[in-house]
Amino acid sequence: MASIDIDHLVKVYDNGFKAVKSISLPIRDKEFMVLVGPSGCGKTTTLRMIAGLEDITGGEIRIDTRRINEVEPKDRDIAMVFQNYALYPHMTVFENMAYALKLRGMKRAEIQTKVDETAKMLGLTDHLPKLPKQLSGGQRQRVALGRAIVRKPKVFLFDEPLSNLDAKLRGEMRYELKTLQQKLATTAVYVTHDQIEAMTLGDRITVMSAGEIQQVAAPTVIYDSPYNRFVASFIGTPVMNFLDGTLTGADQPVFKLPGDAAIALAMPERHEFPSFAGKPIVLGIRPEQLSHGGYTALPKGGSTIPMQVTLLEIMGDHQYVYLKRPGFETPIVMKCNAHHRAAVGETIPIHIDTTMSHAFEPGGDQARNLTLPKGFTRQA
Amino acid sequence: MTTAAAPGGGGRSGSGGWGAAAVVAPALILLIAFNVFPLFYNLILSFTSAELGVEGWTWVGTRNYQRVFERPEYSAALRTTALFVFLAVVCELALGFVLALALHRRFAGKTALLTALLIPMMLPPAVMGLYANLLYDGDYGLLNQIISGFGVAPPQWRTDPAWKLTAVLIVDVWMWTPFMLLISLAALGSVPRHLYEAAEVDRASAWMVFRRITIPLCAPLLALAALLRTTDALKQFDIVMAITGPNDQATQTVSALLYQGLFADGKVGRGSAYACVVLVLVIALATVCTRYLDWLARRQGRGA
Repeated sequence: MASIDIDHLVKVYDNGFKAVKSISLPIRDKEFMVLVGPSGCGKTTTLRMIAGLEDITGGEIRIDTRRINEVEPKDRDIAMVFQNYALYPHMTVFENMAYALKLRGMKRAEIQTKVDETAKMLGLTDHLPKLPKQLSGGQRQRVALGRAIVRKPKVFLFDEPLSNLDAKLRGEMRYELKTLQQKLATTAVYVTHDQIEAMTLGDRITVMSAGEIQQVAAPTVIYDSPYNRFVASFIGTPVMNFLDGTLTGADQPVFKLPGDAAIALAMPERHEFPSFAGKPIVLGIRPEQLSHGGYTALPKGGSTIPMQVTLLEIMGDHQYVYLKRPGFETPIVMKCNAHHRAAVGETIPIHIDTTMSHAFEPGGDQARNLTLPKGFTRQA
Repeated sequence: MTTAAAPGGGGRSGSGGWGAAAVVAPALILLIAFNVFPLFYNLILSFTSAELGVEGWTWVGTRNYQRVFERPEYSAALRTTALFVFLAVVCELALGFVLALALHRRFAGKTALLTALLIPMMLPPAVMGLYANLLYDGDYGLLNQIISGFGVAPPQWRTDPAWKLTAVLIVDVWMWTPFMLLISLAALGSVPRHLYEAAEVDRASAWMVFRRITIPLCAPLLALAALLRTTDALKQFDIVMAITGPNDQATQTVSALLYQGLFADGKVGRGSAYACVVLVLVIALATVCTRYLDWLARRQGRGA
C-alpha cells in the first residue's frame, strides 16, 4: 500500500543543468506508472530522486503522505531494478536475492522460504546456485526482478529494465512484467524510452520532455488525445504526419493545403476552430488514418488527394507507403494492408479519414492540440 | 612440427617452416644462451666442488645439498626472506589500499599528488638505499633528529641487530606502497557504480557495502598486485646491500646469501645447490599463487 506524491520537484545538477523543472505528479496506490520520453528528458533523474540516489534540489516527494526528501534510500522501503541488472557478480542467484533480506536480519529459514517462493514464480529455481555470469541476459533480468520482488517493498522502481535485451526477449519479459504486476498489485514507477513498453505496461503514462511533464493519462487517451504536438509525435509508430496549411470555412471546416488541395475536417471537437478561421494551423494525421483509394471506400467525413509513391516498407501483414505531393516538404507515411498494391513512382488516390485526426496551433513541440474536448486537462 | 602448428596452413611445404624458424631464431638463441643454458649449467655446478679462483673441479655428488640443509645460515636466510616478504607485502598492501580509499574521489591537485607519490617507485632501489642511509645515520640522520625531538631515545637503525631488518623494510614500504596505491585505485574504480546503488537500495550499511561489495570486487586485482610484489620482494638484494651489506645475519636474504657465497666466498658449487633449492621453492609458491588467482578469476563473473 503506497501512493507517491511528487510535488513541484526540481533537480538542478552541480554544473547548472536543470534536469527536472518543477514537476508535480500524484501516483496512486497500486498504480503502474510509466515515465516515458526521449533521453535527457528527466525521467530517470525523477526515478532516482524517488529512490534516493539523487538529491532533491527543490520540491518534495511523499510516500504515503510522509516526506522522504531527507530519508536514506535504505529507509524508504523501495526496490529498484536497474537497466544493467546490477547483480552482485560474486554472489550466487540465491545470495543476490537473499542479500536484502539478510541485511534486515531475517531468519535463515524464512529467507530460504521467501527466496524459493520467488524463484519458483520466476522460473529461477534451477539457477539458484549459479553465478550471474552463468546466466543469459533474460535470466539475469529475471534475477534482478526477483531480488526486488522478494522484499515485498512498498514501491517498485524500474529504470529501463528491458533495454539491454533483444527484441524477442523484451516482448516475453514485457508479458511477464505485466502478469507479475497484476499478481503483486504493488505501486510501480517504470522509466522507459520505448513507447511500446509504455503503452502496454502502464496503467497511466507520463510523457516527459526537457524536464517537464507534457501529458499524464491512460495509454489510450495519450494515443487518441495527445495534449500537444510533442506527445502526438512521440507516441505512435510510424510518427504522426504533420501538414502545414490554413483553416477555412466555419460550419464545414476545410483544411487548405498549399496549391489547390483541400481536406474536409470531420473531427468531433471543433470549438476552437472559429478563433483560428483563416489562420495557419497544422493538421496531424496518423499513418493508419490514410488508406489506398483503389481498395477502400472513402470514409465518412474524409477527402481524397492523389499522391505519388516514393518508397515501400513491407512489414508482412501491413506496409508503410511513403508518399509525396508538390508543396509538402516532408514525406507522408501511410500504413495499409500489404496486399493493397502500390508501385514506386505511381500516383494513387489517398483517402484521408479526419474523424480521428488532430489540428495543432502552428509552432514547435508545445503547440496545443485544438481538437480536444472542452475541459480536457494535461494531467488526468 | 613446424608446419603442423600453423592453423589453416595445411599442404604447406617444409620451406615455410625454415622461414618461420629464421624469424624466431634470434629470440630463441638469446633465450637459450641466457636462460636455459645457465639453468642447466647451474644444475651441473651444484654437484661439483667448483670454486672461484680454483683450477678444476670434481664431482661431489649431493654433498653441496647436504651442506645447504645442514648449515644454519641457509635456512636462516630463507626465514629472513619469508619474514621480509610477508611484512613488506602486507604493509604495502594495507597502506596502499587505505590511501587509495582516501584518494578515491575527485579533488584539486590529485594528479600532482599521485605523481609525487610515485617518485620513490621510479628510483633504483640501490639509490633509495643509499639515500636512506643518510636519513638513518645514528648521529646526523634526519630521522633520529626528529625522533629525539620527541624526547625518545632513537634506535641505531644500521647497527642495532633488532632494527636492521626494520630499516630495510621501511625503505621497501616507502618505495612500493605507491604501487599498491595505484592498483588499489584502479580496482576501486572498476567496481560499477550501480552495484553501490543497488546495495544502497537493498538497505546495506556503509560497512556492509565495503565488506560485501568493495572488498570482494577489488580482491582479484589486489591479489595480483600482492603476487607481483611477492615475486619481486623475494629477490630483495639492493636495499640490503646498501644499508647493511650482504653478510649481515639480521638482514641476510636469500639473494644476499647467494651473492655472499658465490662471489665473495667463491663457493660456486654450494651456491649453485642453494640456488636450485630456492628455485624449487619459488616455483612451488608461484604455482600455489597462480592457482589461487585462477580460482578467484573463475569465481568472479564480472559479466553482469
